[in-house]
Amino acid sequence: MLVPGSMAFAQQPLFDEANSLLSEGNYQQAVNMYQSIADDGYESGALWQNLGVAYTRLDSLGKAKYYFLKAEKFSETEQQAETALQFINNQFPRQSAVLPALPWIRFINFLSENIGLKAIAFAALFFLYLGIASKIGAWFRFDFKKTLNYVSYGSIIFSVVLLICSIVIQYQQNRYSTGVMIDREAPVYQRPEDNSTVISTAYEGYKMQVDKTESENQQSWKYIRLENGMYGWIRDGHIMTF
Amino acid sequence: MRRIGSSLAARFGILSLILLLIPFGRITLAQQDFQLEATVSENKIFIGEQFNLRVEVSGSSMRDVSLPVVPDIEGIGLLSQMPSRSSSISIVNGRTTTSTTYSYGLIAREKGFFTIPPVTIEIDGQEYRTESIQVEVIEKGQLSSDGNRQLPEIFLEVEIDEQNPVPGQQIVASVQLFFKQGIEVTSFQPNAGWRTDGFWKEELQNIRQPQAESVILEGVRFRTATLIRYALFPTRSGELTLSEFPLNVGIRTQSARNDPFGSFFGSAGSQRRVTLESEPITIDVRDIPSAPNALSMNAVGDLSIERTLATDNVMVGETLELTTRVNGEGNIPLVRKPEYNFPDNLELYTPQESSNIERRGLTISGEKVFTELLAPRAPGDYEIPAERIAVFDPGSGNYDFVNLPALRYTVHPGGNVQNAVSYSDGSQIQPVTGLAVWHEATSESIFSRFWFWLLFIIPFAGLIVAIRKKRLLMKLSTDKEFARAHRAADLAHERLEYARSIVDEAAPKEIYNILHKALFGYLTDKFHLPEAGLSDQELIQEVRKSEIEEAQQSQIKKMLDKCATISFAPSGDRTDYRSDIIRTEKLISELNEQL
Repeated sequence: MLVPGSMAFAQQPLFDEANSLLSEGNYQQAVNMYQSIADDGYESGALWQNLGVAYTRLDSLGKAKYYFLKAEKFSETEQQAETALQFINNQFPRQSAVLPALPWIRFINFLSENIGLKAIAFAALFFLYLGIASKIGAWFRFDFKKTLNYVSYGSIIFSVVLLICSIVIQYQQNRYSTGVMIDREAPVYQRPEDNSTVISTAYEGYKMQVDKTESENQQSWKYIRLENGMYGWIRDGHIMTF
Repeated sequence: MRRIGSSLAARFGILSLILLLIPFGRITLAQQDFQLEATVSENKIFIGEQFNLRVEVSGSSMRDVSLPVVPDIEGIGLLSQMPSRSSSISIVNGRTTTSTTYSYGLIAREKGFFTIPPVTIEIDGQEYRTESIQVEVIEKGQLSSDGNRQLPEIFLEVEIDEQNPVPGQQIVASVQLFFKQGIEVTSFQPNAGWRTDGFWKEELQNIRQPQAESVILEGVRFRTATLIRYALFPTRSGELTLSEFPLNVGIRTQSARNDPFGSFFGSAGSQRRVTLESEPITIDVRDIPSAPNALSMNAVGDLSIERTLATDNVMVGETLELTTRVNGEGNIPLVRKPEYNFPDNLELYTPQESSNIERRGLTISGEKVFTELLAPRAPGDYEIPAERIAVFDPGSGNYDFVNLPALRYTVHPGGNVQNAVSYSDGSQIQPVTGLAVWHEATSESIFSRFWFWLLFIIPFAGLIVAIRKKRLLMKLSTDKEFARAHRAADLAHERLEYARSIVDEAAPKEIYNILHKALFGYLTDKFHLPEAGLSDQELIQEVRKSEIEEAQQSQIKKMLDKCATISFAPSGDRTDYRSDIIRTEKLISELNEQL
């Protein structure tokens, strides 16, 4: 939701000041100031992009990647963030093997990233209204009955599909989130114990899916799925999650 | 079989021994290059059972050895004063060993613990004495305290030396074969299928030739030998199970009892193979306490750790080799690479690890080496911070800490320094400046908002209204009586409006005629009665049968009567007419609520 003028401008001076610190080379101070804006409950593509830049300068590439991924979600910084991510990903000495996602997960991800849950939910509502209005019209306007019936059934079916998609996306968002490895490397265990079998190692910049539901009952541990398809437990201090 | 001692100079007194040993101790020992020992074939003997006492003199050369003198032994009888004598000479790697053995037959006579006193023997004219030997004589068939179970002739057990280890702690699992007298074991071969889930397993190489010992189990003499030993390292805490250990054993039933295991692959006889399985064992592995303020390598045991840097001066783009070496006894195979805090501007390559594990003896020892290749990306002076590594000592149940000092290195600019710097600071990524588009960070879902569900419900509510309307229209078009009743009020109101419009100019008769029509028509429509041919009386009778309240019934009658009366005898003024129109209108409204 766009914030009306005065509220938006309240963040701007701080943001400008942080930008000055960044250009002067005071990266850590700039990070702190950007972070304070985020802590106040405001966000913008530029804020995340600049945090990513600051962390890149600090050579904390895992965190930089995390913020560039956040900036990528905003249309105004999408292109810059993509360029930055391309650069950052080339800096990591280790790259994870990527197991292709299942088609239906790719479809849901596409909807979620390119259209958004809110837009899909509103579209579902729109087609529901259209479908029901057409049906009512068909009952009282006999001259357009057939056309209106077609419009009605089509719209309602489309609305139901969109509603199911939005519920699935919501479920995915509630259950899973994206995490980025911010430490140099960390073991991924079979069970949430330091003495458990190590099934893989996550390195800085690795992107992963965090199962929030599964992780709920384990303090300091996150249940993750690496991009190579392996599941395991990792200490939550090693990753930043959306 | 139990080795029980070696000889001492017996002739000399303590004083002369001290005086001689201090200056010439080494010479004396060097000169005494023989060994004297006395052994018994069994330490636990049944009453009436025979056993052997052997006195052996071995050395590098044949010596002049007299017959040993066996003193009287309490509770034990000597079967013959003349022992059997045997001599042997062996040459191994050019070294000659001679051995003379005297063997006496003894018989146990009384129950109890007895001591075979030192045996005296003269070697090269000097007298020596062996050490005394303890034996226990028991009654035949005497059962042990743990019951009277029937043990098979041959069986297998896996014995572990620690019931409650911690993860990473070594335990030794010994595969122990038990067999009765008269059975000779000729070969053994472990089968595949021993499951040790949750353990790292290493076979120990400390048993060359199994040595049989005699034991009494459930009052029966058995021979036992340890065949194989494994070092096991639990990898996690909790209850872990070692499955049945499967073993193929070649046996021969033999009546001779004095050479049971020594004749491995030995004498002739009818052979058969049996497959044995031990009982599964459950081990409760305790949780290992977490190491406070220290780096963990999952190291358990007596281990030393050191860390070195191959060089402390490199160029940008060259690699630094950091080696971490773990040495000692413990869970070497399970030790993990430490996660050091490296300074920035380092690229890390895939670490290498190698290990050299020593499996001799009863503990696993060796060395594990982790080599990390680090490529500095920017020039400068750097430091790999000092680390404190925790190594768990299962003996004390506490952590020992190894402090690794900080390592410093200098990175000099290389030929490709420009590229390296630009890569390290990411200068091609520029921040966004100017006015930003701000959004309120919200994680609230659209599905948790009230207005969304309100918007969702509204079309269904509209649908329900439309359905009702559709049904009404349908009924109005198909059910005439329903249509009459439905339109009755509207029609009555239309008539009353008309009466109101003509009240100022029309004759009273006409006005009351319309009022009559409005009320009469309304009631006939509601009661589905024909409007024509029905008298007021008949209508009032129908009204009385209906659910209309008494007050309204009398008002209806009154109004209909007045309408009929006025038609014949007009009276009243315009105000009365208007009042009657209003009264009729009100009456119809009240009736409409009841019908």
